[in-house]
Amino acid sequence: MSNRYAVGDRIRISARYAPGHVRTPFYVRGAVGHIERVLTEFLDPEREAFGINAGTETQLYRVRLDQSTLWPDYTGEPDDVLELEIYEHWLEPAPDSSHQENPS
Amino acid sequence: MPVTPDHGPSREPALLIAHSPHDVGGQPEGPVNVSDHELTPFEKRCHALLNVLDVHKLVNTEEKRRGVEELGEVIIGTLGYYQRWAVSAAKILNEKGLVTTQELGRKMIEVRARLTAEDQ
Repeated sequence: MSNRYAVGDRIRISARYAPGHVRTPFYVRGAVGHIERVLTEFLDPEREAFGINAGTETQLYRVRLDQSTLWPDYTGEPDDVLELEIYEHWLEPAPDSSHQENPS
Repeated sequence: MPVTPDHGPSREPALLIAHSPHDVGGQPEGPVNVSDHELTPFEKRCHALLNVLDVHKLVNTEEKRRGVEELGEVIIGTLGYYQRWAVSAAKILNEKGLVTTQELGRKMIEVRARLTAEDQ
């Protein structure tokens, strides 16, 4: 199984707002960061939540975001990061210059 | 759609619909209570029951979470963690036709009567 993303790739977490059971927190949608680690595949929780117990294996990644890009009023250390695990269908490629954009 | 980190409930319809009340990350709140909590007998039984329902593919973990999310802000904010699990399991089992509201209602009366008798 080939993964769409590799360690170090710049990514954007999709800013989608459909109703359903979603494991991507609201406050990171639209944020730009990079792939910290390629994990394994899990059943898609968005399907599992409606009783689909097989056949929806989806690649999971650990994503690293700069805290300062998430919170406009962030007062912590400038190199503080947030890592969280995101399914592949919630990721989009982001150009290298994207880290200069403020997702807020 | 605006791409904004979330800082509280939105009144914008699409955001309001998509933002389940359990997803509170980033919203203003007081200090987190990190004290240890010893599980009560009810909480242990509830945890065991949900594990059994998952193993037997009757209510999986994501269905249980969805059932909690669908309870709405007031119920989520009022019930305890395992109380939310119990209500969610009842909802999902009902959705699947495995338990009826009538059966559940009668059983609740039976259990309440037993617990009341034990208290006396």
